Amino acid sequence: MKFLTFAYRGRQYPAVLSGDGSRAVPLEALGFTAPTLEEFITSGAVSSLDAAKIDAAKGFDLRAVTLLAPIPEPLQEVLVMENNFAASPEDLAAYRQEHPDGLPTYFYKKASVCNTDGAPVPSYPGHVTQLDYQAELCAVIGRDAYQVSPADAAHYIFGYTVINNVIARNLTVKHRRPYIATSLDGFLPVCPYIVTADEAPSPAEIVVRSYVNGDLRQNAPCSLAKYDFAYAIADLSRMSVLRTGSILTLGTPFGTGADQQPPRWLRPGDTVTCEASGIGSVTNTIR
Amino acid sequence: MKLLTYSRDGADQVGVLASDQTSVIPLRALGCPVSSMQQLIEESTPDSLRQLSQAAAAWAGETIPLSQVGKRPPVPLFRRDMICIGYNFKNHAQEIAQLRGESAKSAEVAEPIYFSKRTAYATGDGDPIPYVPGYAENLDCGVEAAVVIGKDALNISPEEAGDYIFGYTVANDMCDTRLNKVYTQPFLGKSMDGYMPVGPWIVTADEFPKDPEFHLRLWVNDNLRQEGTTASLVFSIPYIVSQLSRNMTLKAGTMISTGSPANRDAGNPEKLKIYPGDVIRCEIDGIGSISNPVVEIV
Repeated sequence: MKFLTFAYRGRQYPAVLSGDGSRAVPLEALGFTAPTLEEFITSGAVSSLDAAKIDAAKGFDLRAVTLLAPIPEPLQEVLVMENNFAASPEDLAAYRQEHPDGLPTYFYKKASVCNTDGAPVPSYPGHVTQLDYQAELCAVIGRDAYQVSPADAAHYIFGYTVINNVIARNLTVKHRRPYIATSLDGFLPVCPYIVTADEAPSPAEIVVRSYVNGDLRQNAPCSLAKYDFAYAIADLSRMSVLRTGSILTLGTPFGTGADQQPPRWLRPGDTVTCEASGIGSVTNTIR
Repeated sequence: MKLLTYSRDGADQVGVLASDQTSVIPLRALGCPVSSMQQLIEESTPDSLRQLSQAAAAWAGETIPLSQVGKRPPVPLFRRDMICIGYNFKNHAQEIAQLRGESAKSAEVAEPIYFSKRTAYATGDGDPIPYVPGYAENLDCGVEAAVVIGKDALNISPEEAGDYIFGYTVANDMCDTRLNKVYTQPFLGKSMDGYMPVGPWIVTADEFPKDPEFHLRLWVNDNLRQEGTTASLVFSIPYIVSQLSRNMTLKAGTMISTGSPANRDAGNPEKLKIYPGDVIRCEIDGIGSISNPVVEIV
């Protein structure tokens, strides 16, 4: 199933996509009272939904509604794994050999103001000089995870989506940490859909791509990730609860603007698409 | 006015600390129908808070002794960011740089170093701080004044910052120094459950000047370990709030912890070691204090 949140006449509706992808069926039309998708996920009611019920229910024509981020106001920040992709299978093998005790690098990206598909990303002239894109596959946590083993971690994933983890690289340098650099308003464009884990491809088989003005920049299977979602969920839940609705990203593959020789930063008018195969995409123009 | 969250009959409630300082007046009794501190922060205005404060001062009805309620963090289910600032006391920055084997120069910061801690389920006064043998046994602590943002702040000047502050509370920025080191970013080692005790209440901003000077102290058991005032912050509270709000909305309820002073026994790592059974107490004059026991868990 694909879950989404849309706006219609000033109201927000958490919804599920019909089987043919043409209609958004509000969860309230299916008898669920949760006011937000996050609360619906928390309620655990997804197990009582089936495709026949969704297709039989009344919905809104997708063309008539405004798609928002699936969770417009996520719980706290987005958990990011930094430098988590190897450039090639050989690089990955070399990393594993050289860093047998290696660990991921986590940080938080502010998520209180999500951006939506098709909306502009501000370029903040005078504040931002090195604007960059980062396509990243995300897992949405489906139930509170505490001391979960890697083998059990998959049971805690509600579904997957894809984001553009926009970053102002000059601010990472200025403040020595990526928090502000990745957290300015509009820097979190999210694909309109969360694809439930049972319908999504296995994360290792998902290919993450980004395009700038149609030019393919990033193109990598998530099997190149040094640490996978299962590892991160186990690691992060070892001594703290990873709460339902938390968004965890796998990090970004090689090919960002910073990876170009010389680096190529985004400019007003550029259009960036970030996609994950079998999940969806998000496209935004720099303003 | 001191605003606190407490539990009674299994539910979290919000109240005002009564003038006797040992009991609480439920907000509902004062005609304020909010169900959580987050809601109060979002919906209140300086005027409504003033009215609430007057109603509490005039209250002649029953109050509930603190001994009869459960202690809770001011915002138990944290929905906003807990933003921290590294190296914001010069002497502490030098201490950390020295510990890490970095040059004294790396302790000099031209701009604040911001990062965010995970505090999904908040920790309050009295809650345990976990010590995990073989995993987290290199604990460090830091008393900090935490600013609570009262209304969405975007592109505000340092002069305006005070208008966006709901109040102040005491925070203890706990971490495990080994985890901070091995994970490169100070995230997981600072984000374990129990590693950001906050409380015991929020004191509304109207009780302080616009750029208040807080006197901070931290004890491990009876040993005074940190002492300092926010007057010696490298970056002041108005500067921080203003800079963070530049093109980045600070939503109502966001907390900003402003940095901790140096340890008095800096350079003596054995003396600074924290063990299970220790009690860490953080105090700020004019706000209050929180005490948290270090508890061994497996």
